[in-house]
Amino acid sequence: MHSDELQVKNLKVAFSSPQGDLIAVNGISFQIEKGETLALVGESGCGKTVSALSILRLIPEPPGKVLGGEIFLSDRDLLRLSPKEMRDLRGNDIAMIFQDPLASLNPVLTIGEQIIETLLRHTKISRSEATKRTEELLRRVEIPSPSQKMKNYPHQLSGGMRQRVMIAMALSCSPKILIADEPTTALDVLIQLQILDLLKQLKEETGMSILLITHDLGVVRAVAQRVLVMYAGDIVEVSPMHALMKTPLHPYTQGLIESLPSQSASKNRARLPAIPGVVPSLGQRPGGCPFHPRCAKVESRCREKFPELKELEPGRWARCFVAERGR
Amino acid sequence: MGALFRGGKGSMKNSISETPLLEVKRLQKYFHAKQNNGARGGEILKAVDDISFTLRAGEALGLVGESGCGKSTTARAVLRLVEPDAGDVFYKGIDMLKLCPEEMRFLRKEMQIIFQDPLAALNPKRRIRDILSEPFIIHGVTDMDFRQKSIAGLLQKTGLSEDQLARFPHEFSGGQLQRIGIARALALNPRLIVADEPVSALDVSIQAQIVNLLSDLKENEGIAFLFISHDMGVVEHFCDRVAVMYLGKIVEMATAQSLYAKPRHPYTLALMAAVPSLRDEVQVQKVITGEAMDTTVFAKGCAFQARCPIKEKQCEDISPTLKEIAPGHSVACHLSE
Repeated sequence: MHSDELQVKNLKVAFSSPQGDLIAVNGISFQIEKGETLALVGESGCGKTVSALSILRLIPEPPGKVLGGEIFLSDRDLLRLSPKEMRDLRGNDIAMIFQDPLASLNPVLTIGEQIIETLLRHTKISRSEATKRTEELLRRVEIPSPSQKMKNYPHQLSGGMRQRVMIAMALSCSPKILIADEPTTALDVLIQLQILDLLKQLKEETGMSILLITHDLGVVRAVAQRVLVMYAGDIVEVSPMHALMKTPLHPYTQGLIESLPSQSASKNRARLPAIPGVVPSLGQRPGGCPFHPRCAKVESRCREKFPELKELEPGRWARCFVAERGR
Repeated sequence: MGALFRGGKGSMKNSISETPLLEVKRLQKYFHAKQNNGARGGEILKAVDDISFTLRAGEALGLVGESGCGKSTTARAVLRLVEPDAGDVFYKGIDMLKLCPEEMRFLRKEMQIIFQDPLAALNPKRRIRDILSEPFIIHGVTDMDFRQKSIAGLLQKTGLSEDQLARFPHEFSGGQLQRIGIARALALNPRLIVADEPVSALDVSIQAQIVNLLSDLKENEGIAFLFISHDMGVVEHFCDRVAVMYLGKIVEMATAQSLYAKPRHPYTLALMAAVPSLRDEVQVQKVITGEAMDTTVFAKGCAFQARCPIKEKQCEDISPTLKEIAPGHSVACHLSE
């Protein structure tokens, strides 16, 4: 437990609505180890972003609320910190980057000014020192001619460059944990590789942990060491990355991998093995195992009982009756 | 007019006909960026720069490349949704660029487009029934019985149900909205569909459903597709032939089989390496440096030279042309031999 950087226990998050509380995150537990890249994978609405935002206490309340759970960073429970303590922690201990860097950057300030502002807010250094540090940071994220680029406004940069700026800003206070929410989804494939490569390299250099949120298994494959798969607010599978890709335990994970046209098992088939049906919306979570209406291996007990997340192999957990029996 | 709605049934099954449905020759579209003071005469952006290809009935041609490479502009110029600056577009031998708006509207029945964001493509204030009726109304189909029957047929083909007709777009998920967008495109029995990133905005598990639906339409109805995507995996699965675009030009064009078996252009290689197998433990991912700049950067030589891992001296001076190096496989690269 001491090598864990962050520990999430029984986190439960809901959004209030006219139909009552809608559970977005259904009591999930996981830990991020020091220096690890942990991927949180799932489709839209599965609760992956809500989980990450809860760690930083960025869920808008109301309508959102954390119903229960604990989030430990060293010995401190983040859910019990005051707003002031939380403000100091954000950026310093945990930083976050988002899918759309253009929306996260201030359009009327130069990028240099925005990073300097961050540094002045969080550290006790002079403005000229901050300017120097900013230039260093931009060089570190491989932005060409950083002293000139500092004077640019966000709209003058490409999507890839903007995401580099966001990463520079996130790194400015040397956080222990970087939360990256779909950091490359809006980027072209080749730029995506560059950014993932950069994240990997920075992680090696700084020893920080990365919580990577994505729907893209290719991205997971490129950078993650361990993977959590979420479906309808639950963690359905936890596994080291290579094992997950090779022999996924949960039928949902199997379906996700199989339905990718680029994966060899499905190549040259006339039809892709699609997962039927749709992801349930928040208010319409099916009883029993929430995946059972779409599951190819459904049995009668799946409709009635909610399976537990069980360790089926060392380090590999799945929430599925069928996978359990297969062991 | 009725013949148009009944045509094509069954006769096309599984066969790609030899005469081209669409022939595009030396298509060109430049955009003139404004100067800082708003006056014309700024930089010229060569969005589509001398592009030629053919598309046969029942065939799917993939247009792949990064954003800004001109793939969407090419497709839009073909449909005359933007007017090309130069070049020819022949549809069933008809010179499309010479048609007047009235003639063009008549021809458009046979060519439809589906978009990346289906919610943005559907009118939020109209019910699905109205959205699906509109193509018939625009093209003067007044026979209510025929309309009803056609709509029922569209629902069945696209996996939607009758009780969804009274609902509004916001009540549907992304995958269902894309089905509605496809149903609307199918209403007038098109022969050509431009699909502009039709599955990019969808969840992984839904993507496969929509790709399967499009495959069915291609096989069973003999519809030709101009399929725009940045996803090399989807393109390999769906398309018969593929054209890889970089900064307004086609840099490689081949049958999907030939292209994926032996990609020749370094840019194509890079795109393919970006979607490696999930299962292989060892991964060969070569990170290509730099970004696609606008075409004004290089006055001469190959547009890919700044990012190319195998660049030579001649690439800086001479712009390579598209050459056939194997039957049906063309590449624009000095070093591809």
